[in-house]
Amino acid sequence: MAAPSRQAVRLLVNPVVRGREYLTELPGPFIFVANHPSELDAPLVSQVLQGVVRRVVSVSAAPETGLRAAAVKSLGLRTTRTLTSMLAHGGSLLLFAENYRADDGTLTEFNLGAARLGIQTGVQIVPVTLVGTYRALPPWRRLPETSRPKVSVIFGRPIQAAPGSEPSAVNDQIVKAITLGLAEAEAGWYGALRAEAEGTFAAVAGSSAGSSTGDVGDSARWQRIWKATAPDKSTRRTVWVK
Amino acid sequence: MSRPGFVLSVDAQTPPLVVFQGEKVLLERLPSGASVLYPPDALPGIHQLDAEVAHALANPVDSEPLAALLQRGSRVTVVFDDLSQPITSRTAPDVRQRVIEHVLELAAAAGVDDVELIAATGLRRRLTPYDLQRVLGERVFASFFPDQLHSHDAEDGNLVEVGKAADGTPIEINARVVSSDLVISVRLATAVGNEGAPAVATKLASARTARALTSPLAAAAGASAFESLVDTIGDKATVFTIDVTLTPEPTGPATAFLSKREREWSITDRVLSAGIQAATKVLPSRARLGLSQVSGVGFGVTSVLAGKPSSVHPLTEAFLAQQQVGVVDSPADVALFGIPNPNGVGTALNPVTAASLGLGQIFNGQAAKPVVRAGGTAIFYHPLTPWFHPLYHPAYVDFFAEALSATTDPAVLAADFEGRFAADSWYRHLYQTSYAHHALHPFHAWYSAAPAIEHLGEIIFVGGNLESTRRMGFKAATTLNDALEMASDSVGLSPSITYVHGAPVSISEVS
Repeated sequence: MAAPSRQAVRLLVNPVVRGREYLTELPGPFIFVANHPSELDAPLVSQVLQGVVRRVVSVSAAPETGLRAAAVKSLGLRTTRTLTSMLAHGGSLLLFAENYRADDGTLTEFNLGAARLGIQTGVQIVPVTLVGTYRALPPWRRLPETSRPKVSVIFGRPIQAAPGSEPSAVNDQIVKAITLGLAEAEAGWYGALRAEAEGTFAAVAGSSAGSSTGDVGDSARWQRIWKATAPDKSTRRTVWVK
Repeated sequence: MSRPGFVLSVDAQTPPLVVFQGEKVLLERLPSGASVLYPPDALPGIHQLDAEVAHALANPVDSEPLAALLQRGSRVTVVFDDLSQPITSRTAPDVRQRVIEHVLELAAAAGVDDVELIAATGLRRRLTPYDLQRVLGERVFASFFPDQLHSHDAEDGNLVEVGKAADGTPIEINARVVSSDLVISVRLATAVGNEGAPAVATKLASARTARALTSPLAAAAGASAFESLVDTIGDKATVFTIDVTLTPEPTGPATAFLSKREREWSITDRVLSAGIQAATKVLPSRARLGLSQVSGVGFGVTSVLAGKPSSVHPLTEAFLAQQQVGVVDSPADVALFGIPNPNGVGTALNPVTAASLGLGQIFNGQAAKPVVRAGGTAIFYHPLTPWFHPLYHPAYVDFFAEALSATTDPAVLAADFEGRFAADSWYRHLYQTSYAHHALHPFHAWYSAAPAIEHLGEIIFVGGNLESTRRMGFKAATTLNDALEMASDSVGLSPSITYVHGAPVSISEVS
């Protein structure tokens, strides 16, 4: 299925953005590393980054199908060399670094390529958590729900990888930041920060995020899909000031 | 270093000058020989605020880094400025949110679970959930509202005595603050006199304490009573302050020309000015409200300092002093001020607050010394429409209708009316459960204007509502020439005139 365009995203969903201010203060370019629960992700991120960064090219570590993917592959547009030169010319990258995509929207194991690229080029890595895009556009739908569902795009603080750092250490930092974003949806922002500090992350975020090792938790697949597509309770407007 | 302020002498070549008058922006020709006091250009804002805040928290003045002060299991209270300081940006998160998010990230990492956030409102109104969300952002709001995030309540029974003032007045402070291990105070300031007292406790005191210390009948000087509460409050609460200074005016691309020097206006600026003039003629007054600030994108941050309050406060004050006009050669016979209506979130000016804001410029304005001599005349541009915000100003309505029509003398007001207003249970109910200012708020606003009224011979409002000006003991004039004609009785036919250019340094209210 073709991904919806940026203009379509603007009409179809209601994005809530956090942490964009971290980016507006910095010169860029950036390597955005995000989770990839839905086809909505790439146009959504480039939509919310409009006016913040010059140009975003999205790349997925998981194998992609379709005509466009085949054309990109045959022309070699996504090789490390072309990406590096693009970063050098001021363009930013959006990397979906999961090695494969779970069909229930959970987080799977990350490819170390993103961390390596950050270390190699010295470009700042920005972890991006996408919440609610799976609910808005699950794999079996062609169009998102008609009610302009709320989706969250949470930018973490940029990570500057020092030259010579260990890619797995940088990758851990990225995964931690993305899991923190996922936990924010479950336990609130301060609750997620506390859970991170206490090391009880898995218990808080695990149910929706799985873990970074590719093990997607104990619950059955249907339960994970059931949970991921549950209606968002917070979308109801309150009219009266309490 | 930004361009310093200067004094322009008006001659035949001087173009008409921008004067704010409520929701209007006038272009006035001043008489030849008048001086125009331009404030210095704003310092360039800090571009990387995030890094600056992190640096300030890690390298505080006369204190350990914040991360070291935050202990596992400690009781932490974050106190922040309410809407007496403007919302710093229309599109991006407020500066308070940026600072408090940093603080809370450190607190979470240190293992602090007992966190409470209190808006330091003094006697001002509670913040609505929308206000809180605008000031602190959705993340902080969702994490803490309503139990751990609320406004200070000066009438609450939950206030404890931490000492006595010189005259024996008990000083009662918010109990949560007193019982905390660490009080983190986040403060904004745009100009000297705008950052408030060194002690954050002044904005967290009970109404009883505030009343006793501010009343013109009391001998005690209010500020000195809080001197011992600057660095610590009570027995165990240590105060850590984070002071952020802002550019004096919002910086926006389209209306930035209003604070520029008129001689330097570009063609675009002239076109925009003509546009504003035309729109002023066509639009109804409520719609005109935002004209002059319509595209003010936000206030720039000029410095971030953290640490021990008694060490940080003088540094902030010295830094802010740079942004002011340094020298006024000699005070003039007549001073001119324009007063705009603010268009921020949750702000509203009624005639009493507008007058006290204008008169506050005499002593706490852009110049270090009063720009007008004792016995001189102050001419303000403001319509003083007798309009009161139905939610915020219920006590003001009665203060204006009953108290001010009887007397304008602060001592008589304090003796005859203050007690009755303070004891009124309806006002208290509105203050505690709705979003009304405290019943003492109008009194304190009026007392703050009293020294200026005392200093001046005559006070004239150009375009002022006749009913309002009469009631407050001022005069109303239709044009500047009329106002100067009226002033000529006391200052002569050729007085020296100083116009203080631009908006008042702070659209803040008394606490």
